Amino acid sequence: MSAPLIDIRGLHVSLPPGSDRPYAVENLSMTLAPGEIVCVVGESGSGKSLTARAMMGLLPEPRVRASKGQILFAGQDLLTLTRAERRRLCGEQLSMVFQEPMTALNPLMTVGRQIEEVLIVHSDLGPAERRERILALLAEVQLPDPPRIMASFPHQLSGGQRQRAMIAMALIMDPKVLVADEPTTALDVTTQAQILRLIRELQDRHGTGVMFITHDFGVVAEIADRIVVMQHGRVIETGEADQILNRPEAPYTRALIRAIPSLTPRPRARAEARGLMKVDGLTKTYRMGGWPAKTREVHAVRDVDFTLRRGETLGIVGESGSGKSTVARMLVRLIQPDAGVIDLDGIDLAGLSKAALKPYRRRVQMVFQDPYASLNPRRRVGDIIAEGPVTQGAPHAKAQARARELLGLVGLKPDMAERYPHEFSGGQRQRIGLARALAMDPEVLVADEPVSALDVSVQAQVLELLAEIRERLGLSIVFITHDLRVAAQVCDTIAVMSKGEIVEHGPVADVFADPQHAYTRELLASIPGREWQIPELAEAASA
Amino acid sequence: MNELSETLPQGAAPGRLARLARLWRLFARNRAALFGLAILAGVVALAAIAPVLYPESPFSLAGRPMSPPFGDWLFGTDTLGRDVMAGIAHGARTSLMIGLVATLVAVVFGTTMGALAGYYGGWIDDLLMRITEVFQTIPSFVFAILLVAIMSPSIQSIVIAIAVVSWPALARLVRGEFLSLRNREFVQANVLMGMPDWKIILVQILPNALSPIIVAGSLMVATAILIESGLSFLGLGDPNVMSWGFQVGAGRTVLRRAWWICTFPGFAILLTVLAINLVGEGLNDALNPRLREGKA
Repeated sequence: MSAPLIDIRGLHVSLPPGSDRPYAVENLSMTLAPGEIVCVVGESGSGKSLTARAMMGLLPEPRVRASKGQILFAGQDLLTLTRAERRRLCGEQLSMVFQEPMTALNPLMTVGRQIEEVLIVHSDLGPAERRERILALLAEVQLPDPPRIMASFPHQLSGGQRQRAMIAMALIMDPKVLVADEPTTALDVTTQAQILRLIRELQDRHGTGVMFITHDFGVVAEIADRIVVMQHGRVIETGEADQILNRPEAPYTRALIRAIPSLTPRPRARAEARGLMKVDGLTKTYRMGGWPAKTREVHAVRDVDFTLRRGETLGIVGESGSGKSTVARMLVRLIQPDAGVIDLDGIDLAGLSKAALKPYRRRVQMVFQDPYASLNPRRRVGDIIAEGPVTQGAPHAKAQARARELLGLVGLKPDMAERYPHEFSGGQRQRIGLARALAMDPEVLVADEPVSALDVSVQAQVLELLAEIRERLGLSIVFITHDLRVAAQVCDTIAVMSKGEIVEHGPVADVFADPQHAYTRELLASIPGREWQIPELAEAASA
Repeated sequence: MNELSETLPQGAAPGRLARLARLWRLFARNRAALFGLAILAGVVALAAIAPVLYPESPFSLAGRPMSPPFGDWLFGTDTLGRDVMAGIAHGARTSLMIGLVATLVAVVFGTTMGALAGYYGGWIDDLLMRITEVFQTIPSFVFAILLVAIMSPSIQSIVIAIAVVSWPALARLVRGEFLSLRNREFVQANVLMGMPDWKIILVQILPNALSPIIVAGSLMVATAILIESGLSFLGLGDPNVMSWGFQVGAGRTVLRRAWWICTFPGFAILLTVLAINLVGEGLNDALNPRLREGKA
């Protein structure tokens, strides 16, 4: 192997006094060779992003700073450079792609102007040459119609196009090192697959060394040459991609990989044939504008039909904007459908007035996505769970006792009822949200992306809990997700949504094995790391 | 347990007292706020003991007109021989009372309007906000003068006038808070429980919007005191009640011969308004600690 481009030696990033640990990154050493993609993987709080920021000089100093160690680039220690020296390197030799392209681009400047800025600072090209160079690069990142993209503002582009523009901007000076901090996390899975392919191609052609920060082992399997696994600011394991993915040694890495949901659907006992909830012709159209402008119609959901059987988990999968969340919210009547029938045991929920609906509210409950916004920060956990039954007329003491019982059921302790939500972690909050829904004794549980905000290890535990509770209480679940791996593990049947319509619907195993619709095929082909067979790892000896 | 499990919170659940103690610590980090609180406590104490210190009416004649300060009378006497210090002590009662009551009325009314507009949206929001805007189009002090002049000057009319010109700003603030909070998932969860709207507004959303309301309300007290002083300076105060603004107005014509008549009540206004602003600022730091860290 050639001499490393970047050589990080014993890097410490210190946190302000009073934090839960003294160092965000502790004694980190790693190297990056030319033409190599090193993935830094870890869960939230592992220090992976701060490592990238330390390299680029983007730490929120002086509160958080690199206190010890070296980051050597071409023999120079990046940490000891003056601001001016660092400025020259950044953009020219080192550059970075951020997670959220919408906030990383200036909304008031055209894309072309922003890329040109880099050239103006770092080169002495004339305006015509600059334009030529930008157009060539925009074509290289496979953006359609480069002159038009150049003249566009960021909000006029799609998420994937914005991220391509960001990559073009990062590559315009042909840097030796590219740092990519979760560059595909905010993107849909099909767009993510394209961007990953693009990064691979460009890196191959230019021989760039890429440091790729991610939390997603699927993405890692897709792109990494070498892998650095981090936890709580320390490096747990380093090695070639093949070795870490298939023969991990550290117990933490093994536990992490074990937590990744497999793409092979879990075989399930067949659900009862009796239908519980029949949805027919569900439609929601949003009208915008109006006089004097022309009214614009957006068909959020168009003519959706499905049947949920007793004890069944129905997955609704799709990308952002497919209308899956709108369907979920219509099922619980947070959104009033424009047309269609939601038949629950012979009662059409869609047609009921607000007052008439009240006694039926109990029967369909929801688990929300955001563990931070879904619990009222000013109320105790016990009150949050007991509120529902009390509203429905249960005596206060009885509801409180039931709340404690439910806390036990979802794997927390009954005495946690006295605490406030902020004392709990994300996964624990989702458990509380589940207990709140269960307190109403629902027959149908609508879960809207209940695990997508959680780290993979926590996600596995919450999914396990959900499956267990479903068995125990005989619940029927509508499970909304964008993650096909999760869908494969949780659902009995799935409905694939695209542009407001269900394009394919069937048992999970059938849909995964033999997708009929072109969109389903594309979706399945885009799952990161689909070729990687997750190894069967035994529980670590220490566990 | 394997290495991926999350740990539950340990120790005793913090009680109400512990949370108050934490708030006090955050508040006390701001030295200026403590200073303001001390001054404010002084003014409150002065208002409380005014009838004991000066049992006679502050309008009664105490001695020779325009006696200089720091002689027989701490702050001298005014053109009619009234004790300036007695006026300040009794004026403190007026100022604080009007400031508090007017703010309370404005907060209750403004919060109600803002909460309804923000929670329901749609045509209710449009209607309530257009009404709010009508009130905001008229300069507030001029509007207050107009209202007091129409209703004839009295304590009640001054309180009403100040409340009428103060509530629109609060209504807008509360509306904004409610707009963002009503779309939070916890509110949607409450809707799914079948919880009635009034309960969602009062029990679920309002406590989350309380910090900015408290901060805005505390600063509003200072503004109310200023408006009251301005009104009585112009002679629109309650003629039967002593107030700082009235004292300044009465001494204005003899400023060059008897500077103390205007100056001491003026200082009283300045210090009180400053103190309330500092306390409000401190409350802001304590109740919205994230903003503070952002500034650091």
